[in-house]
This record gives sequence, C-alpha cells and structure tokens, in this order.
Amino acid sequence: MGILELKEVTKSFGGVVALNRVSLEVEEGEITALLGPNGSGKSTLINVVSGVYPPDSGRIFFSGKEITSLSPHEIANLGIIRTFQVPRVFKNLSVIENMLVAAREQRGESLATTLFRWRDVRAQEEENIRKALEILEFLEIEHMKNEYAGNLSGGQQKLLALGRALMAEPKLLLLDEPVAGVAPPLARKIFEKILELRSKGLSFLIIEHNVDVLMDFAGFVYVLHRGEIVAKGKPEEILESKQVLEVYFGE
Amino acid sequence: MSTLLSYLVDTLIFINIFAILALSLNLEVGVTRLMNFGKVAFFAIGAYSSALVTLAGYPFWLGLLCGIVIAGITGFLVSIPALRLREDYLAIATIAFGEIIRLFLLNERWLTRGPIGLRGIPRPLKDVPMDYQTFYLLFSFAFLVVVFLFLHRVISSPFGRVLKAIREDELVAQSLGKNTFRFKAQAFVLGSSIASIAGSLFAHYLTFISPDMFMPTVTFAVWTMVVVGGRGNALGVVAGAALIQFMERTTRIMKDIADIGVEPVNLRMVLLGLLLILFIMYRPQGIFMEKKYEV
Repeated sequence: MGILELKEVTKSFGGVVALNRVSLEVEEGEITALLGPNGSGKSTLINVVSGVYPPDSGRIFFSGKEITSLSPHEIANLGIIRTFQVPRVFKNLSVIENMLVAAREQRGESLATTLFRWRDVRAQEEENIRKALEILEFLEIEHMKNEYAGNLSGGQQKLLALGRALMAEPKLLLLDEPVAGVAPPLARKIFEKILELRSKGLSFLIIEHNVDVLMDFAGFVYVLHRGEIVAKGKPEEILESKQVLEVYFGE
Repeated sequence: MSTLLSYLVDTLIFINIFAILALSLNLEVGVTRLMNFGKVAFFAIGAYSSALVTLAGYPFWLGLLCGIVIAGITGFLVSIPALRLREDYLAIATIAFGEIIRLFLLNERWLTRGPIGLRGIPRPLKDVPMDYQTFYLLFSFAFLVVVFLFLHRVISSPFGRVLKAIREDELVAQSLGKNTFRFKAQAFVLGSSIASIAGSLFAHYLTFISPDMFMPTVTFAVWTMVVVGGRGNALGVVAGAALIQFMERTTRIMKDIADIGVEPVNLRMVLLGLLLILFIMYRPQGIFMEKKYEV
C-alpha cells in the first residue's frame, strides 16, 4: 500500500471535468512523477490532495488514513507539504523568516505562551533557527539568509520554497514543477537534492515536464491527459508507450 | 497653566490615545492585512462601556475591563462571518459594522441617552496631588507604553510571524499547516480589545461622549496614521498618530488665532485626504519601513 492513494477522484469546475476518476498511488520512499500537457489537470490534482479544493467524488488516503475534504492546514499537519508552480515566497520577509514560519508545533504560536513563557519560546526559536540554517546550507542559499525573499532570483526562490517545505518536516512532498524556469545546471542540482532527501526516507509526488530529468530521477510515472490517467509505469516504459507519444505529439 | 502649554498637554494626551488606537489597527492592517474599516466601532464600545460602568458607580478599572471584554467578544462575533470574506468585502462589512454600532448608540436611548450623549463621566484617580491634565498625560502615556510593549512582544513572536505570513500569502501559510482563520480571529479580537482601551481613555478624559464623536472619519484618520507612519512599524505608527493628531488639534484652535478664510475643521479633512493620497502614490511603505528580521 502506498503512502498516498487516490481512488476514483473526480473534480469538475462548472462543466469542465478537470479530474475524471483518477486513481493513483505514491510508494513510500519513492519519487513518483506526474506527466502531462498543460491543462491536463496536474495542478488540480495537487490542489485536491492538499485540500485547496474538495473533490466532487472519490477518496484520498494518506498512510491508510482518509484525508478527503480535510482543510489545507490539517493535511499539512499530517505531513503532506506542497509547493506551488510559482514559488510564492513571502516577499517582504527575510529568507530566514520565511523558513521559520514553516517550523512545526511552535509554542510561540500560542498567545498565552508568548506572553507568559517567553523563555520557552526563545529556546525553541533558537533550535528552529539552527535547523533552518542547516536546510539553507544544504540548499546552498545560506548566504542569502538575511535578504528579503523578494530580492532572490527565480531559481533561488524555488530553492527557498523547497527549503520552507522541508522546514515543515514533511513525510510526503507534493512539488508542482520544482524546476520550471530554472537554468538547467541548477535544475539538475535541485533534483540531486531531491534524490538525497529521498534516500532519507521522504516520498515525492512531482509534476514535471522535463523528460530527461524524469528519466534519471523518477521511480514511477503517471501520465495525465484531459483529466484522466492514460498511462503509468516505469520511466523507460512510459517513454516507449504509444499513448504518451500521442498525448505529446498528436496521433 | 498658560493656554499654550495647556494646548500642548491636551494635544499630547490625544496623541497617546490615538497612538494606542493606531497601534491596534496596525496589528490588523499592517501586520495581518485585515482590512478593518470599522475600527471606530471598537473605540466607541470601549468609550461607552467604560462610561456606563463608571456612571453606575463602579471604579474606572472595572469600566476599562468591561470595555476590553465587550469589545473582544464583539470582535470575535464579527470575525466569524467577516474573516471568511475576501479583503475588499471585509472592508465593506466592517465599515457597515462601524455604522451599526454608531446608530445603535444613537437610537438606544434607554442605555446611551441617544444624541444627548453621556455627561459627567468620572475621572480616574481625580484626587491626585498634581495638576489633573498633567497627570492624565502621564496616565495615558503609561497605557501607551504598556500597549506598545505588549504588541511588540506579540508581533515579534512566532505568533506575529504567522500573521505576517498570512499578510504575504494566506494559502501558503495554510499549506504550511497554519490554521489561518484562528490566527486572524485572534488578531482581530486583540485589535478590538486594544481599541477599547483607547476608547476608555478618551471617554474619561473628555468626561462627555456622544455618538457623533464616532463617525467613520475617525476610522479614516486612524488609517492615515498607520499608512503615513508605516504599516508594520510600531514606532512609525506612533509617529503617524502624533503627526495627524497635531494637525487635527492645530486646525481646531486655528480659528482663534488666524482667519484663513475657510473653516479649519473642513480644511483638516482636506489635508487628511491629501496626505493619504500622496503617501499611497509616492511612499506606500510610509515614513518608516517594517523592520527586517535578521539572524
């Protein structure tokens, strides 16, 4: 059984069926990729899994527990953290502050603790700063820690969004085009980081267009077309599949 | 005391009171981006609660506390439907709420005496062995300091950081596991209670309040303080409050000093609007910018 399971998930907007009875599974400790042309429903799928839109029908399970229609923060707190196609960093906050927001179970998020047990808050804060700096170092943007996030380059913002997601201690990461618009050498580096994280036990569901990158890094691929899964398999099988060629290059 | 000195002390007292009000709006608007255009409602609730309780013979502290609690509860009740609205609709809903409160005060005569207002509101610690106006200056300043430090702690805490994250991008904050509705509601309740403190200080200083003191223009004046001073920067907001109140008090006494051919009170509204437009166009971040957090 996978860490994430979708069973016959359907979502439509008005008359447009964005997802039509989509079933898929993400294996624990694997990188599962979602491939498909623009408008095929990939981002909708991430939005449905992360609770932004409730599905019209179908069920979603995470580690065997049903999460269908939970709200985004509840799903995040179970350990599913998603990123966005556009990095959506908190532009007017510093890089380190972006990271710290994401830390889990912060005592200082309670007003009472903040007012009456400041020392506890400080202690946990120091711990979180240390952790945030470690992640920034891992992603090689530690030197930017005091910069406004809005001043970072596009690629650096992508890295920060990934770092911020890691700070939330995910079990499963949903990455919506983690290297879109990133220069190829940096894109490769980001995927190498993702491999490193996978070896530490993290699971991934990644939307990606770049077929080369997928072949090297993904363990399993689903192809989405007009809201339906039209092919699934190992990357090398997918590349040879007729449906995929049709989806991308026409019949 | 000479007239000029008395004018200065009076102005400073108003600055203290409105700085508290502006700081409460800053928590909502500057830090969290909750477009509250009904601030005056909570100012009025504080003023009337405190006045009614003390007129009934209870001490100032109890009046103050009642105001804080009533404003907090009202803020919570308003936040349940209002905070689910998009920010522009929130602005409209809160401006309407401000008017509802003012019309309530105007019409429920059995409680508020309607347009006649409440007179003879007792002054706290009126037997202090010093000039009472000077005392009230120190008294209101002490409240300002406490509110300032309190909000500084709140805003610089992880709680405040989540509020800023909500301001920047609410969906992202949710995706990182923050129950943003709870945070916004807490910010709104806190902002409402603090506005009520300013209301109490206002009522007990003037010793007379009436519904026409709580027109929507009060909200706009406080907004101008926050925008001009610098959204998110508490010291800036206090500076903004000082500037706007100085302008307001000065235009009030201008009539006695010089004839400038227009009604100074109307001139004040023109200046306020002009200032707001100029800042939004040419310096939207205000005089002072929000302080960057660094390690």
